[in-house]
Amino acid sequence: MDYFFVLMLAGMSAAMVAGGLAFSFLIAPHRPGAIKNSPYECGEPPIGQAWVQFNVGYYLFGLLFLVFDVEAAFLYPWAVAFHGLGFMAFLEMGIFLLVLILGLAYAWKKGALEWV
Amino acid sequence: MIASASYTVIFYLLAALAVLLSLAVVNAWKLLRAAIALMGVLSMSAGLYVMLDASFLAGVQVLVYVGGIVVLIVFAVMLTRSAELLQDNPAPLRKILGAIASLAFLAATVGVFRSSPFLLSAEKAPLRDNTTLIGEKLLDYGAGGYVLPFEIISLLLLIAIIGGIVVARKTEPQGQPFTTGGDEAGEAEFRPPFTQEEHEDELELVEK
Amino acid sequence: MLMLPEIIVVLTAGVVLCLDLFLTERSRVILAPVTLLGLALGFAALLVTPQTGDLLGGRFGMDPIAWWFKVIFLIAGFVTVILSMDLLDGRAAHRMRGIGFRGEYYTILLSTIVGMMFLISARETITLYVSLETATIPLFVLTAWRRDHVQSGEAGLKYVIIGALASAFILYGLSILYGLTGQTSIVGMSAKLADVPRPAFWLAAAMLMTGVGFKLTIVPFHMWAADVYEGAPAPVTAYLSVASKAAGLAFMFQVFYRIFGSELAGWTPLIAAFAAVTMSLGNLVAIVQDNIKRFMAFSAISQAGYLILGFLGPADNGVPAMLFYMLVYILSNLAVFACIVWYSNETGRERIEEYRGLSLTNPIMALGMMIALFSLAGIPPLSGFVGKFFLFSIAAKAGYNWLVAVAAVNSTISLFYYLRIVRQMYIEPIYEGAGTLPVRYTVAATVGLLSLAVALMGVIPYFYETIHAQTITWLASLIG
Repeated sequence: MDYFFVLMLAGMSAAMVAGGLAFSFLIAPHRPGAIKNSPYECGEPPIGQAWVQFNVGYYLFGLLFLVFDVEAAFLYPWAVAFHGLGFMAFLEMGIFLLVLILGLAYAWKKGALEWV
Repeated sequence: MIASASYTVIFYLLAALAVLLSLAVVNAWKLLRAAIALMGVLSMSAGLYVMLDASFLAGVQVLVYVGGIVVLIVFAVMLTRSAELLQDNPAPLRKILGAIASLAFLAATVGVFRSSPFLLSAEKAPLRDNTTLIGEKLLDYGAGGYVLPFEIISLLLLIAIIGGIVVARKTEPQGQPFTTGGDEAGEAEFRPPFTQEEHEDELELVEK
Repeated sequence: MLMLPEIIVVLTAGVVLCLDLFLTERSRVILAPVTLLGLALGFAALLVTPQTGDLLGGRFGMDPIAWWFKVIFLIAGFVTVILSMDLLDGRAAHRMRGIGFRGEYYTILLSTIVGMMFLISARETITLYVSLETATIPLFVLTAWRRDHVQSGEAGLKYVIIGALASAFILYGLSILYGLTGQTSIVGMSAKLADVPRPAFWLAAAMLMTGVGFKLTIVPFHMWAADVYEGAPAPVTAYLSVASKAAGLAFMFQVFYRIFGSELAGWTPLIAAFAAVTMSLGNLVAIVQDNIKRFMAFSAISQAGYLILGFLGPADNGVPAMLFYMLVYILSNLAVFACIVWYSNETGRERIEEYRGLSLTNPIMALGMMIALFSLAGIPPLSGFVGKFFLFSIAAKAGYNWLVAVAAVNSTISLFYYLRIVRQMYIEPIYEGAGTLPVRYTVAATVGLLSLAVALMGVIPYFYETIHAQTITWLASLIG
């Protein structure tokens, strides 16, 4: 039941968005034209496709983020259970972190964290 | 009564949404739409985890899958030249065979799952505060612990970092000397026939 | 103490990575010797490690079979490093485009070896799965190592997709087993299997079989092998063809003998069918191959077909026969690949007819390659023959005479296509003006030692008898 409020929140926010869209669809006048349908770009006429090829740097950052995201997911239960665990658990987590810090050091030294 | 009924309703709602969104993932012509639908599928399964009282798993699902992997997929999509999938139409026979295989697999798994009693964790103990329990199990080096896979995972993550950087980097790092194709001075006198053909093959592939 | 070999190899990986961070590109030449030293230390540690016992409350176990597998993994890794270092250090006359990143290469190679070593020592399914991933995921990266080479990238991508599919099957199978037994430990799972409802058990077994089939390239799960082997850099292909097969076999041992145990008896017709199809298809397709790496891929597929004949008989015959054949197979295959890598490094040639005249320019290397090829074909008295003999006799004892006939016919076919290479080396005319190609002493020693081992292991009964005797104790420990 703890999650009942999460569900309610999700339902209400979905309803608000859907309601807003539906309401504006219902009451707004529909008079489309070529200029009205073009994307609004701060008053500038849009040029070319909206599609741009991303820099590979985004991918590398995303990858590093993901790895440390997973690490955080492992840290969390350790932190929650910390008081009941002994010194060995601390040591084990130290080894785990050491290996990943090695990965971070690698990425840093090799310049994967620099924006090119 | 109402609680259990609403539980059932929500479960089927989440499950149906997950199935529909999965269909959207495989049927979308635009990769980005498929990625967003995938995000939906993963969120729905997070919801299912919540209903199973696996709140930590649900959190990890949202944190890692929805927030990390899908973002990475979107970046990978944006790295491509175009988000439109090539309009390749597989032969009808292949489509039919694929459909038959998928349906047979579905029938087999559903049939098996309906006929077999699975051990449900509810029969054992109420897993209320399971995050603490996971933490204890994960770092327990005794008989019931999982410290070995835990440490192996750190190695796996390290390899993921290194491998990802090696494969995905665009720029050649300074001073990697062995990236020439043998076209430096003094290497020109010996060019075996195979490399040239191979090189031409490559050029053809690039042109395609 | 039991985990010492693994710890040494992991530490070596860390040391290599740290060294790579602080060395200049020129002095990175020392990384390969450091890696070799680490693997040698690991091997030495393995020799002094007791062959039975467990750690971490029984979560990490050591037994004679695991010991032999670790020997296989370490040898495969050691030879692969030797084969890789000329290419990576730029000593090859024919430099390959886009090969570099030496420190990363060795770190990743070492971690696959560690993954495989943990795989065979795992005593619960989480470790089993995680170490299987640690053994295979680095291989995807190694396959795509030639950065600006289209085929290498394609091979890496194919391998990732197929590997993910296989992992999904394995994970699904293991999770069904977990759901039915409520146990992650292999012992606990195996004890409760008898009560598991049959349809669910069969589904899980089929999933695991499919996943293992991909790893071991058993037909019909073999289709990725040729493209991946061809696209990967030659030393990586060598490693893939031996180590990933050995890891597949190790996983199969873990699942079949430890988890399924006595349930295996009813499966022999299925395994026989797989074996027959695998060896026949691998052989027939190998005949028409032109590229030597593709050729070796199909040869490896047919060898996997022979290998799983060992599952037909009772474990006390099958296990030593399979282990012995695996040992022989990796030594022979590595010897062949040492020549392939060396020849490709020196000349860039990778087609079968381009091996012509090798016996005149480099007679020793040609001889080593010929011995290894004959061992793969199973010519007496080479060890490949002895290994095949044990496997065939198991199939015959189990009553599969038709399968023995199929295997014998396949052996003959395989002799024909292995002889194609020998013919090129010994009979076909030499390239005009081709001189003796330089051979580095490391490669020469590797080929020499491997072909010597291949020639002698069949004659000296020590290996088979030791493995056989140790299998008996292993089986006793499984039951007790």
